[in-house]
Amino acid sequence: MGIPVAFCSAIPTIPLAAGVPRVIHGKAVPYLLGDPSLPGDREYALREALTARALATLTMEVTEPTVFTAGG
Amino acid sequence: MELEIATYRVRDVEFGPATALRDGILSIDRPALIAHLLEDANLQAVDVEIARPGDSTRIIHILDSVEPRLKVSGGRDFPGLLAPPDLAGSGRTHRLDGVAVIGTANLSGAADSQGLKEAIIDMAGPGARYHPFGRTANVVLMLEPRAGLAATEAVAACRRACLRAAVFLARPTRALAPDRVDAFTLAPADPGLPRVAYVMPVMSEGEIHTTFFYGRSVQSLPHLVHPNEILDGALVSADYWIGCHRSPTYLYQNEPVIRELYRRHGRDFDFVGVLLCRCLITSQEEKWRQANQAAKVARMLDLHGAVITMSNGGHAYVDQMLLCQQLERAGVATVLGVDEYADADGADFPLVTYVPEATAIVSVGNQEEIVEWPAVERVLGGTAFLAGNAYEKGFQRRPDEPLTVALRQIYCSTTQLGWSTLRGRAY
Amino acid sequence: MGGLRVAHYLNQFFGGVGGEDLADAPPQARPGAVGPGTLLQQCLGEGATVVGTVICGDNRMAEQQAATLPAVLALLRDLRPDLVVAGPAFNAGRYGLACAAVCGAAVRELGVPAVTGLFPENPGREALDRSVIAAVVGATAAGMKADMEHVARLALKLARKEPLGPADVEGYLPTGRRVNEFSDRTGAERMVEMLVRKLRKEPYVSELVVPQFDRVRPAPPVADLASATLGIVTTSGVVRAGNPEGIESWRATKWARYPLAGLEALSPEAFTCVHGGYDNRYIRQDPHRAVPLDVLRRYLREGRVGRLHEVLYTTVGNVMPVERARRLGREVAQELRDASVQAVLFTAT
Repeated sequence: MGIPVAFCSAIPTIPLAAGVPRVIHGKAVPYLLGDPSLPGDREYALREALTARALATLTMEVTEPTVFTAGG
Repeated sequence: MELEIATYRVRDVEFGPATALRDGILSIDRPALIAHLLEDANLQAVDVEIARPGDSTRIIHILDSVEPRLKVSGGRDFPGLLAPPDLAGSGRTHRLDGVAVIGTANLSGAADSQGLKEAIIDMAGPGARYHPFGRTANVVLMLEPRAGLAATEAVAACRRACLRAAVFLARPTRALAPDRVDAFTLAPADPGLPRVAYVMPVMSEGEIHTTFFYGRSVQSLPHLVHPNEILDGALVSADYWIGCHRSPTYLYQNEPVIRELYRRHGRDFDFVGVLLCRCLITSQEEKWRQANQAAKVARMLDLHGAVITMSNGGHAYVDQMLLCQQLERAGVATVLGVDEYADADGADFPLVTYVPEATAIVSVGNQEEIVEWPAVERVLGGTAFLAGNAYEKGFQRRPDEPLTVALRQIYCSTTQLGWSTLRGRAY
Repeated sequence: MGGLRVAHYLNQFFGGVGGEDLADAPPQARPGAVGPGTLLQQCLGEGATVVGTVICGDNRMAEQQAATLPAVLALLRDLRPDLVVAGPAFNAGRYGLACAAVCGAAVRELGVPAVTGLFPENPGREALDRSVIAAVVGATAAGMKADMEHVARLALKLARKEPLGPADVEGYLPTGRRVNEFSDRTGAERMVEMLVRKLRKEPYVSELVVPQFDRVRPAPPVADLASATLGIVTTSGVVRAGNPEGIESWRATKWARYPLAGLEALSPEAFTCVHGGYDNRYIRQDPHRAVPLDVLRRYLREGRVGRLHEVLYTTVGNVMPVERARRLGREVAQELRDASVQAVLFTAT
């Protein structure tokens, strides 16, 4: 039995093509889980939202490669 | 839009007392050219050398290459960069055939994309056929930007110098009769022919590595462009990343796919135009946005087919593949031009990514093939390989010693615009 | 006849044992050529002799391959072949898989060249070893004569150690090896020509065929993260300051493991980024932009995540060859398994 993996990627097209089941759409290539244009607390909130989303997928059943975004 | 390109064949280039073209020999007043380029306050030193086909010469630190051009009517030279952004692609333009300006500079390299990558060519021996400049007499500029400039300003000064040198060298043709004149106009075609466009994603990674369209870094959504604009200097390279798959200004001025689409326009299809796109965009949303917009434009143009090339590599394949996917879904038959990452032994999966719709692919070769070329007598551009690139195979030696590197380091060896006959083949 | 000794593999149908009702037939050997082997012998000519034929039922091979393949191989070995020919299998799926398995084993275990014939859509194609040459043949045995000639031609070339040309020229399925060559036409000319053919619905040969990546079977979810052990893996290139392990900024050859116990956060003094494929200054300023240890520590304190496997597995995922990425992935996965990790947060740029 495999270990579920929450795969955070700035470019979901690549893991989707490779058949990765749980893909979380990160912010951008140079700052996957952040945004240097935001003040520190808001950047942390963005990272927390993405991380929470990623962790949530680990408790979800998926049947095919799926992209999850922080918004829903 | 009607463009006449007048060709002046150049058999050889030499330094002489004045800059002139006589009997196919381009004579260059070297001090005058250097003084001309040093008018730019951001350059503190300039040197010029000539590298001919067959010379035992290696050129390193290449930034860009430009064909000497002179606009004599209907527009400006390199609009947006050397002149106001007047529309290019109409009137008459002179070109020196068989000559290239090659700009080099020892700017800081870096292991990430905020630095420059080494780019090398050999003028003799087995390496001479792997780049477009083994058959041209090359005017090599060794440029030294003023100390303390930001990297973006330093490369901008070098970019201007290459373009200004190109105009300087073509000036003697102004009153001369050309060897040949070619007319470029998209004449109305039989409405029964399939409608075809060239979808052209150009380097658009960030501040340093980008492409200039009329002097502005390409940032827009897909933009409909007349092919003449590209042939006539509207598009200028600013890609200093992986050397093998850069698209230099020289190949925009002589864009191979545009030339081929022109050649068959009106006979095999109706060449509708060029859809200028971006690649190596760092945001997935922008990649999706671009592909969707391109497909929308394709529908509005009632396209039947498209050639899609790309520039540079890595996740640029995503931009190209998403364009392919959305165009195919819009009913447009696509053909892709790619280069390969198949590892040194050719055994690895050659693409960074793909979509199932990518069923018609032309490969311009595997950039990871290892080549071994002999020592050379002369090196132009620098005395050591670019700092920050030393982790690459073969860069621990001096540049005049025998060269053993991946094609990745060889300038334009696998440019996806398809200038070369190199191809990757399945065995 | 004489020269090269050729062993031929056939299924129960072509081997004359019987039809679908005898698809369980066990491996068996016959002297000399059988069924299509007679044609194979004609096509091979004077320089090679079909010394024997090994026959096996398709279902037997498909359902009990672990036991059946060694038996087939033993019968082939007894024939002391210089060359193994299997099929051709046309578009018969189980037969194609059997031919692929037999040929692969012959190359590996007997050290002789092995050739089969497959229709390009035969599922046996996916089971081919890179060392096996599969001649492209028709979907059915209707073109048996021409197809067998083709198989024999390629087989003789291999047996005589003559180099094979490109797959599309020689007519075999690509083995996955790419070779640079100079063509008589430029890339741009070939692109436009291919487009014209595609628009006219004429046949064209793509110079690169996109294969299917492995599909990853989705792992079942964990019931409750609050009682699970979480692991962290990254290909973002976050490494310890000074990159003591010397992880390459692209085409990395290794991964590193860093203990996280006692670390509340990833400071830019202690960690940096060596990924060479993007502008990595933002990660160097704050490594949490790639590895969210700050958020995870809070979740651990709050009990939203049960435990952390206190190791960061890291490498640079920049144009790493796929084969190497598979190996590195297997190695890290084994460590995670050994540590009883139940769920993984993976950050890739």
